[in-house]
Amino acid sequence: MSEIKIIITGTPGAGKTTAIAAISETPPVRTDTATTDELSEVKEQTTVAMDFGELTLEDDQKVFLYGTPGQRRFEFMWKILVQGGLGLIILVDCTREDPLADMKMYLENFSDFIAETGAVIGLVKRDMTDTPPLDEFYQALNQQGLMFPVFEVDVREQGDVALMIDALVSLLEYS
Amino acid sequence: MKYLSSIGLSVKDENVLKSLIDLLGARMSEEWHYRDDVPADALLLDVDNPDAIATWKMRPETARRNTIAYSNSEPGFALTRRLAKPLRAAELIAVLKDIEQANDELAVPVVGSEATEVTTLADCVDRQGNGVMRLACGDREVVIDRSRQQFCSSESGESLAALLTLPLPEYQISTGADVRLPSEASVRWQDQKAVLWLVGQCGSHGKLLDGVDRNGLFRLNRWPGFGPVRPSHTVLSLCSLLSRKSAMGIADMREATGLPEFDIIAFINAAFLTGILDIQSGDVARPETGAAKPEVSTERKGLLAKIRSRLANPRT
Amino acid sequence: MSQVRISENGAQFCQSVFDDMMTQSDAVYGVLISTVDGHDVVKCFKQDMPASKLAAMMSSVLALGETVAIEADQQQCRYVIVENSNGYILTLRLKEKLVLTVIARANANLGMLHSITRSAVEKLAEKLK
Repeated sequence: MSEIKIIITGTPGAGKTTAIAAISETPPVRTDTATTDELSEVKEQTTVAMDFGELTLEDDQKVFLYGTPGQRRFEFMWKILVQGGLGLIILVDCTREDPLADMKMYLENFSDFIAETGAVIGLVKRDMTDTPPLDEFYQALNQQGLMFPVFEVDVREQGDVALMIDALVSLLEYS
Repeated sequence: MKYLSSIGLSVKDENVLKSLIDLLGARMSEEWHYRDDVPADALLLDVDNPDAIATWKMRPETARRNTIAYSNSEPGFALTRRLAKPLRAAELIAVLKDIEQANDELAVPVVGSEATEVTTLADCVDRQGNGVMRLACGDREVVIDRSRQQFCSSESGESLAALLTLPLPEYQISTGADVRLPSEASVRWQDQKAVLWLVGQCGSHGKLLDGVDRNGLFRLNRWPGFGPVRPSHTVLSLCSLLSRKSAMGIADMREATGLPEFDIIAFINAAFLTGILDIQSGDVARPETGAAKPEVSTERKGLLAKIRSRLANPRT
Repeated sequence: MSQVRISENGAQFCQSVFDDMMTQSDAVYGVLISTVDGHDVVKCFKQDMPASKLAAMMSSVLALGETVAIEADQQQCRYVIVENSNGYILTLRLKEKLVLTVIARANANLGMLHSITRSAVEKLAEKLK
C-alpha cells in the first residue's frame, strides 16, 4: 500500500499544528522549539521540521498529515515534505501585514507541486478588522491563472479542517 | 393521490420513510401515501443492498419508472433521481416534487409562450432584481433585501432549506413597498449569499433559470462561501469541475460526474444567483475539455472516496 | 532576525573555543552556533558554506532527532550525527535555545570528536547567558 500524505503549509502562527491536532486520530508528533525572533511576540514555540498526524481509512490504510515549518528559511523542508504528496492546504494568517503577498509566496514556492496536484486556501483569524476581502484572494489567484477554493476557517474546528481536506479531495478528482 | 413504495430499506429507514410521508401533507401538491400493494408512482431503492437491486431488476419496466436511488455514496449505476442516506425531509420532498412535476409535464406539454412564465422560486427571486421581497408560508418567512445584500428569516439551517423547497404557489409573496419588514430588534440580518445559494439549491425544481443559457458553458469565478452548512459531495464535485480552466456545458458536467441533471441545474442556479458563475456562449468554439484532463484512475477514485467517507464520519 | 545576541566579548570567547577545537582535531573545519529555531549566531568555517541555511537545517535535524527519540521511548537525545563518505556532521543542544554544530572530515576520530564537542559545550554553556 502506498503512502498517502496531505501537506499543510502556511504562514508562521497560522495554525498548521493546531489544524493537524484538530483532525488527527493520534496525538500529533511535533518538532516545536522556542522562538527566538520577532515571532516570539505572537507565539512561544514554532515548528522547525514538521508536524505529523494520521487518519485511518475503512480498510486500515493511513492518510498522513504533514505540517511544514512556516518560515521561508525552512524551504528545504517544504521540498522534502511534499514529495509524493496528494495535495496542499495553505493557511494564511489574515492578521499579518500582507496576507495576499503571503498567499502568493506559498503558491509560488509550491508551484511545481500544486501544478501536479491541487491546493486549498484556508484564511484564518478573519474576525479581525482590516483584512482584505475574500474577493481579493480570488483575484490574486486569478492573476496567477489559478482557481482554488478559498475558505474562511477556524482550524481549531475539526469540521473546518475536514472541509478543506474534502474540497482538496474533490479538486483532485474533478478539477 | 400518489403512492410511494420501497425496496431493500432497513426496518428503521422504512419506518422513517413512512413517518416522513405522513408528515408531507400540505407541502406537496398531491397527497402521497406509502403503499406496497398498489402500483407505485415512486419507488425508493436501497442501492447499497445487492438483494434489493436483484429484486428491482425482476420488476417490469413500468413498475420501475420513477425509481429513486437511496445510497450512502454514488450509486454504481445510473438513476437520475437520488437520495443520500440518511433520509431527510427536504431532500425527499424535492425529489417527490420533481416526480410530480415530471408527470405533469407529460400530461400537459409546455408550449413556447408558457416557458417564460415564472414557475419556480429560483426564477421568482432572480427576476426580483434589486428590491425587497418577502416569502411567507404560514408563520414561516424569509425577507431578502437585495439592495442591502442581506436577508432575515424565521427559520435557519435545515428548516430554512425546507421552507425554500416549497412549490411557488404555496408562498405568499410581497415585494417593494408592500413588504412588511420585521422589526429591527427582533431579527438578525445576514449576508444574502447564504439564502440565494439555498434558493438555487432548493427552489429550482429541475428548471434552469430563465436568464441562464441552457447551451452555455459555465465556470466559477470563486467558490461559494458555505458558512455553517457543510457542503455535500455533489456541491464540492461541481465546484471542482467548474474550477477547471475551460468552461463546461451541462452535458459535459453530467458525463464527468454521473450526477442527475436535477442536481446540476440546482447548482448552476445557486451559483448564478450568488454571482459566482461566469457564462460563455455555447456558440463559440468549444474547448476540448476532455483532452486537457487525464482521466482519474479507478484506483485513485476509490482512494479519494475512502478519504471522503472517513471525513464524513469523524471519530472522537 | 533572531533576538539572541552575543556580545563582542562573547563572540571572541566563542571564536577562541572554536579555535581550540580545530587545534585539537585538524579534521574539524566548521563550527556553528545557531538558535533552536534556525538562525545562525556565530560561526567559524574554514571553507565556504551557507551558514544561514545550515542553521535552519540543523534546527530541523536536531528537532527531528529529539522527536524520534521520544517516539522510540528513548530519553535525552545527546547528539544527532550525520555520517557521510567524506565526513561527519555532529549537532547537539547548547543550553536551552542554542544548537552547536561541528563539521569534520572523514579522518576525524568519532570518539575524539564527541569528546572535543562535549567539552566545548561545557565551556560555552558556562560562559553564555
